[in-house]
Amino acid sequence: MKTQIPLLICLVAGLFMGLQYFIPAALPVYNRVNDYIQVVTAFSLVLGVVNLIHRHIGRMRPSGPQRRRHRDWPFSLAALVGLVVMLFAGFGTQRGPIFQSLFNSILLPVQSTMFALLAFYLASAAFRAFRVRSVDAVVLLVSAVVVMVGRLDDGGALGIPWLSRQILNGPNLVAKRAIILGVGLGMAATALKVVLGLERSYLGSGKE
Amino acid sequence: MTTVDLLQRLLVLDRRIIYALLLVCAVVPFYMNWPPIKMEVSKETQDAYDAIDAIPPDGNPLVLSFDYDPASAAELTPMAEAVLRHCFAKKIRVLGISLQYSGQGAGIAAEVMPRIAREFGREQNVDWAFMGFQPNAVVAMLQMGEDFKKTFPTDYYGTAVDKIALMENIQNYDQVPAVLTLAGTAVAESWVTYPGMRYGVTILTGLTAVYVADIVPFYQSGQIKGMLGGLKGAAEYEKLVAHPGSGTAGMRSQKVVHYMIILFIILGNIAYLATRGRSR
Amino acid sequence: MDATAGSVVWTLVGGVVTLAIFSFLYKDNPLYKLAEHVAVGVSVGFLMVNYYYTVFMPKVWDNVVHKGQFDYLIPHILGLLLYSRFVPKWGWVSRLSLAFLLGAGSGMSIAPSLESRVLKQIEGTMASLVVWVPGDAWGTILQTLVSVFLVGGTIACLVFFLFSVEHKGKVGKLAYFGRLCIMAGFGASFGYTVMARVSLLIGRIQFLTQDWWKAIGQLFS
Repeated sequence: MKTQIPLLICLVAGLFMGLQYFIPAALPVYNRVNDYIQVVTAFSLVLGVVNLIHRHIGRMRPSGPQRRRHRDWPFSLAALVGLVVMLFAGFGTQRGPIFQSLFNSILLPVQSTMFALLAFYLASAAFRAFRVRSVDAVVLLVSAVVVMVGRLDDGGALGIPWLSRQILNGPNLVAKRAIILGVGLGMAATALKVVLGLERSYLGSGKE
Repeated sequence: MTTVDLLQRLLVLDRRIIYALLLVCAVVPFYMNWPPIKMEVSKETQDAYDAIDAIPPDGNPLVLSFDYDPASAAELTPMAEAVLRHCFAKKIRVLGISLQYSGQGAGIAAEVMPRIAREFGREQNVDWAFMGFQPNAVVAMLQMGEDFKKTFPTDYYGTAVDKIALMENIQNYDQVPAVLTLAGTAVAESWVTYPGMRYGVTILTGLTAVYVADIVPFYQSGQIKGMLGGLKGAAEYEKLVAHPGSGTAGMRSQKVVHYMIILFIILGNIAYLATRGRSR
Repeated sequence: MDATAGSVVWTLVGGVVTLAIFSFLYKDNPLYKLAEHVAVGVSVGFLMVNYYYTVFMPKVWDNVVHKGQFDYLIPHILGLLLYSRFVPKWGWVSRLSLAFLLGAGSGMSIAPSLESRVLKQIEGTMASLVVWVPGDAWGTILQTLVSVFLVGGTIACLVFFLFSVEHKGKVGKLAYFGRLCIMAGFGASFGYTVMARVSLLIGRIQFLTQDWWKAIGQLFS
């Protein structure tokens, strides 16, 4: 029962959503199912949130034989304080200016800067790891350099901007198209396997 | 010390020196207005501009989907600002939505849309509206194809959809001249694959540079009608609307840093090739 | 505190957390961790508040309580079942909801995937091999070459991914050509990735050197 019922639900839902493209009369049911998916997805988002809160509270509780807290517990406390403040700002002001300011002045800069760090790592990696060990690597390197120069400044010398466009719309296009074709076929095949119950990894090990 | 010794020492250069050099290269151009940049508008950007420009003033709105989070804001927010300036200056209505899964795109839109609308004195819920975010991007995209109002029963600020004048005539994609998705992830591809195929809606994309090379086949096949790529795409659009903003300002820095990284690659390879025999 | 003073304070906070994250470049430190964790908490709070106002109230609560659409209880029950994962004995029940989400999602993706990623892409490749540009011989030659390359290059790249045939002889040469195209494509992706990451850094530098610097000036004036 633990396996068969989920497989049956998957089959029915999958077959219906797959076939409704060809059955116009199924439109009202299709719209309803879409609504249902939205609601269940919303619950799944909160699942992640609950998991995160659970984890941070866990780090603040003393545990183990010596009844010690996790060494990073003050940071977990900071995360929970951030959460509570945001909840107060959001519900207390009905997403008023403070709520928006907390987003603009904490979340936005932190996330942006985290990804900005990658520019430094990339420069360091370019210096240490980008080696021309083979013909393939030379092609990759030349292509990268041409795109980096050509996409940036249309006044670039030696026709590099033109060459950059040719790489993008020539070798790059055919390579990415081959990948897209493969991915498209692979996605359809995997989806079909899920619907037909041949792919069951989402069911877990079955031990729980 | 021989040249090879010097190159060998170069190979083990402290990473912090590289970081410091990069920082200097990125900061200095802001203060020196150097180096010069010659910028031409690419065909992809021009196509996107033309598609938006063709939308009749005070008619059905452009759907502007903020499908990105703060991690991509440096590239995509300048695009959003430039497109909004274009629309508001030409009295093209804009319907903002966000399908970014964590809802953070909504936070960005809630800051950007009112700010640019104020610049042009455009009225909320009449000339523009922001409907907030919905989870499960694909399903939301498909739902909009049947019923916009059901997909977004209220706007971001809690106003019921029936009270939003802009939404009066919007039933589904038939009343939407184009959708511009600003995306840093595969959401752009979902727009093409689902509503693009099923409802034939005109899809325009504003992408982070990371994603440009991957999406080119969809532009070539005509599934995407126009495309802005990275900070350069934003700068090109700013040029088209004659309002240089943060996209244009950043291009000088970008140029210097790119040349620095290329120099690093060349130096690293010279050092590698020169010392290869020795390390063997 | 008036609006301007408020915005100065918020800008200053933004600058401080930006510098806290940048401090990681030197080494991992408590300031970085603090900013990181506070942001995690804020992001979760942001999601919860937005979820409540734009999803729960209009789509969950209103549909059942105000509109009396009781069939909406089905997705609610499925949604609640997801939380059975927190009770090991009943964890398997969450599979029912997962099966619904995965089954419906998979089913709806089959036809569009094939249409958009396969048929339309083949259509884009199989354009006319000879492209006639009126009054422009050079343009005609160039566009025709591009068209031939599009077809030949795509086939070569597909052959490279075809592992059921040994890459020897003519097949091997075609696959090698495909491989070079793929390398050039990855090179282009790398170039664009550099561009993207540098743009993000420039965004932060613009903020620090302009908005934040101005806010510091306002603080002391």
